[in-house]
Amino acid sequence: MKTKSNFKFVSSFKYLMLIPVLLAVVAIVFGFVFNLNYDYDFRTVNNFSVKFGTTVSEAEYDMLEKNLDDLITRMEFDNFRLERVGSGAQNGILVKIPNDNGALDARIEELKEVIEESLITSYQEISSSIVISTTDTGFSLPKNITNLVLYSSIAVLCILAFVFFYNWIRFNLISGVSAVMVLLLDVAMLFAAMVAFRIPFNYYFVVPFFVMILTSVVNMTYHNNYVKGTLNLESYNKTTNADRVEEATTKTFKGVALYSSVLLAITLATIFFGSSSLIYLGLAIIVGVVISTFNSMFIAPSLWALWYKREKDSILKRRLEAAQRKEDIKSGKIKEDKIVA
Amino acid sequence: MKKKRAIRNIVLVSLFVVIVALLSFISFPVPGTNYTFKGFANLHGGLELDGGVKNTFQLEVADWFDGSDSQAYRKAVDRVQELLDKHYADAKVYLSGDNEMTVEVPDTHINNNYLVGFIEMKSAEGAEAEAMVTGQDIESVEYLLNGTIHGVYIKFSEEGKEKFRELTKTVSGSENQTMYIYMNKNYEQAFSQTTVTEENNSGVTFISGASITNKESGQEYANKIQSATLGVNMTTEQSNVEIGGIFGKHTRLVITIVTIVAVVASIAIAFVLFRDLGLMSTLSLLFALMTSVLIAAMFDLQVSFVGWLGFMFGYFLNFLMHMYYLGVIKKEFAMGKKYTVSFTSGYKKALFNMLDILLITTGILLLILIVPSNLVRAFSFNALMTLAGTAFTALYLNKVLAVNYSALNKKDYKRIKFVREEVENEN
Repeated sequence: MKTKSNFKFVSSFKYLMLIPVLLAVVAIVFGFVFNLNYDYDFRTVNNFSVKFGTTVSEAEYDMLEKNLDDLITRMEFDNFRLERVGSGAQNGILVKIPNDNGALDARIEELKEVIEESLITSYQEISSSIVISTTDTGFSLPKNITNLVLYSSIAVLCILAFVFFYNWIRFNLISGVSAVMVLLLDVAMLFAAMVAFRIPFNYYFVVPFFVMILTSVVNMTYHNNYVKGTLNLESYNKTTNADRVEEATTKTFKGVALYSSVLLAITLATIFFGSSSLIYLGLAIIVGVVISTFNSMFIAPSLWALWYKREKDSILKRRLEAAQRKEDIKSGKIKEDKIVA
Repeated sequence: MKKKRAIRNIVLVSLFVVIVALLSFISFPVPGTNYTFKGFANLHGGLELDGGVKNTFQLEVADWFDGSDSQAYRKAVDRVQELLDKHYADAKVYLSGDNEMTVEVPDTHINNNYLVGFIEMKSAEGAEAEAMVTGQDIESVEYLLNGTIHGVYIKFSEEGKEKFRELTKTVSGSENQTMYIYMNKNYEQAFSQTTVTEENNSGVTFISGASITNKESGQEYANKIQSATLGVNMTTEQSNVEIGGIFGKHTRLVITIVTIVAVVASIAIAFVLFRDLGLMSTLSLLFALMTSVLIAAMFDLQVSFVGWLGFMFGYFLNFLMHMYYLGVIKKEFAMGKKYTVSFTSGYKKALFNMLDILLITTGILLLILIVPSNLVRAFSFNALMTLAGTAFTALYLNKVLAVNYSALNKKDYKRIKFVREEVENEN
């Protein structure tokens, strides 16, 4: 049973494992130097509204938004968000600026004055009767995520237990162990990637983890079923376990790649054509799907190939005995049992 | 006979797909019920996609609250979030000041019953009258259907039982025999006015009224009174402010276009891989998609970005399983099975893999529901919703249609890109 692929999944294991190790090192360094990158949900954020005093047209709204963005950038604020609020004469733009420990209090008040004075005058394109005013500065406190993290952790632990027992019962103990190891590696790698690539943690941050876990599990189940199908007398005598896994990985690669690619494609398309607010969530999902595909295609089969002892596999043992019995009946060594009622 | 049955099946499935696709664009009241069917295209968007309204409330902590003010505020945030999560996909609640809470909902107004507030039971009308029973005296509240009357059942604590006895004694002895229940310190309009004719020393009471007309409104009232046991009051002088979608105004349009493109792309891939047979399989895939669309429309689900992700996850999982089955048939044929036999023998080989994927995915999605976040649950719920259709189509309909196809095209295997080749038998 020779594989057509030139790439050796199992024997490349030791090199492939360098990727998560490298990622972990970068994440630890970045984590210590820059701390975790928290998004607005988990920070104290100041906000104020810029009111127009009159109903503005869609074109004017777009222009005002663009000008405000430009003005705030010129005032050297590098982290802020703009959201539309209100309707009719109450319409305006909500400005959000993260301000931990009140460090930017004075600068925000200065910014408000500059907006009131020069949002219209600095930009000649707007000529209607707009009167710019700003509201008092409010703030939102960081969200409490204790319950979210606690229950997400419980859910992940339950999923690990479920996946382990399911794989153990359906396939064998090693496939259960390797599935759990891969899922743990998935979670650790995505966390490390979020730290290393400075992807902000916001209220959505658990979603990419679950998408990744599901993708991994689907890929591994697809692969494990293929490996199980090759547990037979003929391949037992001809090939090593590593070859069997290698063959299964090569054969299932197309399906796994297709599934992951379509998930990646729709997320990429949404980020590319959608709003900039989607970037962080989309990016985390993309990284998660890439990690899950990598781990389920390269790490899980390798773990199976390395740890699996076929002489301890009860399913294989039963199959081999049945096959041997068939062979013996065929060759006439033993007679077929016949029950006559 | 087989041909006729095949044509009948294809026509029926196609009809279902077309009818549900048409239903997606219309809304109509279902005759004889209060239910209005909203087409899939008319579903409400969540806060992140379509925006809504927000308001900031001042918080006041009752003097009987056992703990610090910040603890009370955190509890109030959790309670309001819990109540809003029952009605909205992605409502937001957060502390926004020393004693302020901001609420954002994907709606045109903020329902007062979803907020927390003080409850005051009085023997006389107005702010000046003494509150004889408050939130600290209530042990539990639940909705109850008493015969045909919908209402709220309140059980008082030991201390509350005595206070309520005193209150009912005072009210029953008064001239107008009316007990006034105020919520949120709104003394201009009583939350409930109940006639009391005798002293109540049972420690429980049942409140019903014109505004509690069904189970839903009864539960809403019960939740509101239950919230009063927290000891935090919310008031605001400001009117609601309209807010835009956090993900921007174009995101809903983008996810609609991406969905359509993804469906068309999956049909194209199926056609490229298996030609006519791929198109036949696509019919089964569309059936599953339309089933999910119908379920979403029937339950009037709120569209959120994460929910959409769950929907797409389920769709592509189904697509993978459909293509996998066709791939196994192709392999069976390549290995030497007869053309028509390969359709059924391929199914037997593919079945357990598909069952495994379905079972393990369903189990994981159910476990994800543990997470107390509507965003995460929306993902899980939408994916589970699609899995119902996936189970039916991947395990049954796809096979039926494929076998039907083999009745229509009995021998031209080249037309569906099947080839005989020398493949070493791995099994």
